[in-house]
Amino acid sequence: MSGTDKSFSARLSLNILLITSVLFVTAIAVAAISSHKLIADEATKSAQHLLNSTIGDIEKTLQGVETSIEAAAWLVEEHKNDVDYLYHITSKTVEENPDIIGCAIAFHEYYLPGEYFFSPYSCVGSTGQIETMQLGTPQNNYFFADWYQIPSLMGEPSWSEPYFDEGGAKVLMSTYSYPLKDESGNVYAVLTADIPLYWMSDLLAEVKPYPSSTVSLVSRSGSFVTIGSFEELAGETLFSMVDRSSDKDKGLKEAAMKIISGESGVCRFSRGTKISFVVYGTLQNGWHAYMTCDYKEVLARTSEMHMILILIGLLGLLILFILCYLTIRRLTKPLTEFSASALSIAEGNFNTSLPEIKHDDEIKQLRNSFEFMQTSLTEYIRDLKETTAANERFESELNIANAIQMSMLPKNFPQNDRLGMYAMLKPAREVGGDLYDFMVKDNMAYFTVGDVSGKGVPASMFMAITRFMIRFTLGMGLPLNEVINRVNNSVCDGNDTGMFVTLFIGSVNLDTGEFHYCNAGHNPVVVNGEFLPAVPNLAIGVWPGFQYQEQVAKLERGTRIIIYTDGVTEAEREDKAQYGEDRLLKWANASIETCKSAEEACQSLMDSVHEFTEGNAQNDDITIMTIKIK
Amino acid sequence: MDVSIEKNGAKTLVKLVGRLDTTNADQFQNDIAPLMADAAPDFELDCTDMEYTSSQGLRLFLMLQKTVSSKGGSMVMCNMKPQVKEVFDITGFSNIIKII
Repeated sequence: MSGTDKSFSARLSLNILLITSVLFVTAIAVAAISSHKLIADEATKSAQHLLNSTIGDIEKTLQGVETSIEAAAWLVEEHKNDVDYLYHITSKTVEENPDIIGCAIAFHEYYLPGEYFFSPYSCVGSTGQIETMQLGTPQNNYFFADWYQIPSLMGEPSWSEPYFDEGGAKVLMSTYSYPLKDESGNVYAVLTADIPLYWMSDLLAEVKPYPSSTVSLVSRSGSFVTIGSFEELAGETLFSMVDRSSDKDKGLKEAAMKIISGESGVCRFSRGTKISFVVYGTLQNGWHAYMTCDYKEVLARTSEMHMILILIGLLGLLILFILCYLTIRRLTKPLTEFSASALSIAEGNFNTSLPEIKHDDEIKQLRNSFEFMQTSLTEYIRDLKETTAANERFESELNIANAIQMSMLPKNFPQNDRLGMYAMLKPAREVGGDLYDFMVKDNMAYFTVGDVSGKGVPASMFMAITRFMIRFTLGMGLPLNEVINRVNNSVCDGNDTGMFVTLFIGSVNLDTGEFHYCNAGHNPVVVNGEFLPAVPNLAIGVWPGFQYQEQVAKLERGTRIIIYTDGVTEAEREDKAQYGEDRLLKWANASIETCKSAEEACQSLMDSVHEFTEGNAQNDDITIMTIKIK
Repeated sequence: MDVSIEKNGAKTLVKLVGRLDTTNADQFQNDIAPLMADAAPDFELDCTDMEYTSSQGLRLFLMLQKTVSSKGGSMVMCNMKPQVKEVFDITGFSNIIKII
């Protein structure tokens, strides 16, 4: 039993677990997808913010440089004819702005009469001292340098492409060029400030939201201003790097194009299996900054979070399973007990106690039903026992009654040279309402056959009374009709139930063959194969004071008489066909002569009736009396 | 035995159909019991379709007749089949019960 219970609890728990798991996995999946997207979006935004603030930091420095140069430009304007002061301006500019490592005022050809080049220049020397000199020489013809030509032609300040200063500071630098114009708007000189770019690399190297994220700065055209490591910078551009990428990398070129488009935004690219996003923006001076971030690193935190979530979930599922299992086992425990109780009851122990159920639930209902069944069964069995006992008692009483009734019927049939007589009575139930009796006194033989209406115990009692009264009255030596008159009056007196007796009574003088008889509503008697003509009279017990008629006939020697009750003629087959008077007469004419004795004749008629009914249940008492006058 | 009882003014028409034997004698007794309660009964028992009656049936007809007589009413049985009539003749009941 416990095995079944176990598997039931486990099965139910597993089902619950399965459903919960599906829900849990779905929830995790939805959470993972949405949180991935959310975190990626957030990461993009914060990368953009970070990039923008970095851009701001760089711009602050660059603007400082630009402001210094603008101030110097004003001074140059004021003192453009004071050559010494012009040198002083460059020296002062380098000295006052630590970000500027070189400053030049490159005038156009022949600014000083007779001098093709004139360009006062100050820079931080190798010893840290500010060195001032005249820059322009035939070997160092600045008129062809980009930093001079572009602002001269454009008439606007500009930042140069990054370059590696081989001669001066030997660092990667960029030059800010500021054109100086006269009253008519012609450019007469270009004021420059050289700034080293390594500090930007240092600055950007510190901006590292993720372990492998990098921030880079490229010029208008895509030349690297800074990148992760210094060595990569020499002559490298964004596009030369893109060109070297393998075919597996996707979106790199598009990303590069976007970066130098001058806009800000975000886009994705992949290198091998590594998927990254890049946020980009543009500085005021036209340079572009971008930051690449690996998605894997961005989402590392969420993966960790998901792992924790899954662990918690699994732990929860385990706890759920254990709780379910224990709860169900506890709830179904009464079922196991019920099973044991049912077995016990089935074995006949009706007082078997049932498990107590505290909660008013289905189990409780089951218990109540069970209890009801138990009490019903107990009552039923008790009733059955009582009924059976009562039936047995009743049956045994009936058997006794049957024995009494049968013992009342005379058995010592006269069997001599003058008279052969035999009678049979077969009740339909234990006791019957038929009767027969006979009496032989000297040369007189008296015999009677009667049938009380109905059968069973009431009829048998009526029969006993009637038989007693006939015997009693016959003993008084009265004529037969007077005997019946008296019996009728006695029976009618106090006969509230309307019972009656049909009766044939006859007497034969064995010397003379004189036959007196009276038929009180009884079936006609067969004498020598024919019905004996009889006045029907009336059944006994029907009408008080009725005057019965007696008839007389003469019997020859060898006469055979058959007296019977309606149990013979009304014996029925299953199809309700009755034995009937015709069959009786036929038997009386065909078979009776072959019978050697009255007893044999009785038995033969009884067999004939049984043969006819084909075993159909006997529905009335059968009495047969055969008499032969010898 | 099917018994249908029909009141026609003071007269009561009782139609008897089928066999009256041990198996249904009690039922028949219950069926006719209300008739015994009538104050001045005037019965006509239609026996056209009565196939058979046992001695218990005879007893019930006798009781009905006795009740009717004691209350000064009248009872008649009609259209009896020959085999049924024979039973009434043998027992002498045809002397007591009016059979037409």
